[in-house]
Amino acid sequence: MSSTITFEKARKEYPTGNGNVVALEGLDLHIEKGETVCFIGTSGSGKTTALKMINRLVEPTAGSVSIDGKTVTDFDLIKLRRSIGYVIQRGGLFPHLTVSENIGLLATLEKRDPNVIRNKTEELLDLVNLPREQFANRRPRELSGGQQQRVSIARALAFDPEIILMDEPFGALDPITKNELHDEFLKLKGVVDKTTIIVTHDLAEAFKLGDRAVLLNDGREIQTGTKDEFINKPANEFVERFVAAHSSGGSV
Amino acid sequence: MKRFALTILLFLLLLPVYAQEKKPVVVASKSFTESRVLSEIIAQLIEARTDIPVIRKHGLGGSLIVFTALEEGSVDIYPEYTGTAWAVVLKRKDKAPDPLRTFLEVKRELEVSHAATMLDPFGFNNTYLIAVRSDTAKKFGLQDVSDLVGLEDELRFGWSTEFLNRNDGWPGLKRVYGFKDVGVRGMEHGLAYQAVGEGSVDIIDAYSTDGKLLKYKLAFLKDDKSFFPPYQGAPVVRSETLDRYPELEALLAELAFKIPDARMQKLNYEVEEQGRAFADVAREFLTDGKFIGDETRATGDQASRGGSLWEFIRSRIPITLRLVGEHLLLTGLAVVLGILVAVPLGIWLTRKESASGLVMGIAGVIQTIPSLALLAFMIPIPLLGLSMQSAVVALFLYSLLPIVRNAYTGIKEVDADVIEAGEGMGLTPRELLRHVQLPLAMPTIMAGIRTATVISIGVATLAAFIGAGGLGEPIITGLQLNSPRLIMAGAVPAALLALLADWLLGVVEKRLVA
Repeated sequence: MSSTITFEKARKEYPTGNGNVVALEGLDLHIEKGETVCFIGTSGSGKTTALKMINRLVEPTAGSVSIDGKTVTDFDLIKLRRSIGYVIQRGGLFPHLTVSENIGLLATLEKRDPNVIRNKTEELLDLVNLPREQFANRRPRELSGGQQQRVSIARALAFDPEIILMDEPFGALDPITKNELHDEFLKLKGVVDKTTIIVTHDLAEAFKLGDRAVLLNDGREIQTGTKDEFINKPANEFVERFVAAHSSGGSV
Repeated sequence: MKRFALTILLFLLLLPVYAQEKKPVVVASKSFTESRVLSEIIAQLIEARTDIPVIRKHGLGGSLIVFTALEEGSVDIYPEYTGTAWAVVLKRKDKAPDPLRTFLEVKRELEVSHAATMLDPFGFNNTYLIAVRSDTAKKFGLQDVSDLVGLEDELRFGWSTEFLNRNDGWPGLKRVYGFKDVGVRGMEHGLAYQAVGEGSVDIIDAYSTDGKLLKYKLAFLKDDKSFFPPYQGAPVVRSETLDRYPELEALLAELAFKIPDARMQKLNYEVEEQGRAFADVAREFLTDGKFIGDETRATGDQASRGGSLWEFIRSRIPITLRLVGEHLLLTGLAVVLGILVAVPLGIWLTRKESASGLVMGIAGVIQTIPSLALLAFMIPIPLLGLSMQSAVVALFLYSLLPIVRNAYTGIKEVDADVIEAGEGMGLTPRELLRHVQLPLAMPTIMAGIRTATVISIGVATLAAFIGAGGLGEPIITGLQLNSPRLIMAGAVPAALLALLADWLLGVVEKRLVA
């Protein structure tokens, strides 16, 4: 199960002391069912703003975002968010709850059968490669950064969402752990069918994980395309320089 | 909201309900021996000679508190002094004239402007004396108050707090005699004798009928400029009370001029130095003078000061248990009300940032009001008066700041990532509060509640000054009688209670957080 996501002239301005700051300027984008798209750009490029418009943590000043053709503002806010998995940098796990309580919180609040919740939680722990007997009852502070992120991903999958939003999910991890999680993410993609959007500032990560990448700068969309398109048909000099700068490490 | 309403209901149920047909008469006293002896004499006289029920409110904290309570209606009768009424109640800045004119003027003014009256004086004139250690007096050749001028830097003054602040006390004395402004230590009257006895001060103010004067080696300086106004003791009564029970006027008139200086001093001495109970001394006075018949009645509102410490502690156990109960009720109600109001308030402020400065400011200002003043402010408020309710409201107001501040800070300090994750995954604001913010803020909130509880237990010892009971009672009586044991009998349980409460709440906190 997955959904399409469509941005239409989605725009966001923030009022400040001296005039409005434009965080996102008229983004047009269509994301297919089951596709993985990476929003890439430097800080302040508007990539996170665009992502948060999908689960309405940010409401557009103008334009719209729709899921399967229905504008997100037409959904009940809580139902909308519960149907979208959300993973943030450093996990955002609830420190006072155990791993399994973190994963099962929403289901518990919706008063689902505790047995079902337990089975689902264990299944998800298996899926993200955390041995259940070892991790189910630990608290977040007893986990490494990579383990926390796995739990966060498991939590995002708990309600079988059709969409997963990930805001720099691997940004705070060391390179080795990051690579491991990348590989596991790709494996996971083979198993679960979700439309996924990942915000990252790492072009290599974007090319590795995403079917397509959307490069944003100063709130504008500069280029949208596959890795090949970025390398072989850069839209302008900025893209060329951006790709070159990220290639110097040799990982692209 | 329901829970809140229930608490209010509970609170109202605790308002004292008097089943008697006759409205009782409340006989009050201030927090020193003589006032309490006179008050006890009045109370026993009414009990023995009429069928009017009597309620005693002993040890109230100062003239203003008692008189405010009288005007408000929670006190009917109390012994006052003409000179004190002149300065503190009538707020006259000019010097009080001779004793008779002062009495008549006070009586008239009370009747015209305060719906009260002053009945005929008991007979003694308890004026201020300036007392000096005998050796100091000899060394400096002191005889008159005027002799002190020029010695302000060499002598240490230990004025009672009331004397320090009254127009007919130090400020006026300073003006009339031309004393220089020097650092003066204010202290509780009962402690002043001890201080002068030990030599930590040289000069104190004393009352001329004071029983303790018989005990210490003191010289008295002549008021050579006739500064001190007359202080004749006389009962002050609410006019409404006399309208309801006109027989009281004739009854109290029997006491007029029956207690001259020497008699008053002896009564005080019997209580303070011989350790006799107020009630016994008062009853003996009344039976000796044939005011009442000779039937004996059980008394014992005061522990004897003889006997070993162990006997003393044993004898205090039952009364201490009652006082601890009262103390816990006062602080418990106040802190529970505080939690019910301040925790939601603190949470609301995190969503209404614009109001947080104002609300914290108000709570902070309340916190800076001296405890006794805050208690006194409650007295004129309808339904409160001299009662446990007043103390509960004052303690409740004190508990607000620590609780509201910690609730606010606790919620605010929850990691922004955690909040974002919660919102993003679709928790409603209520679920987020209940399952994420509150549990994470709980240690901070509990710390606020612990602070508020410990403060409350301490401040509640002052509640006895407005007649609200609690462990302050033995402290006040102990100060009156200069009895360290009695002071400890209130202070030690209060301190233990504070430690125990802190420890218990710590245990509760661990349970809640784990």
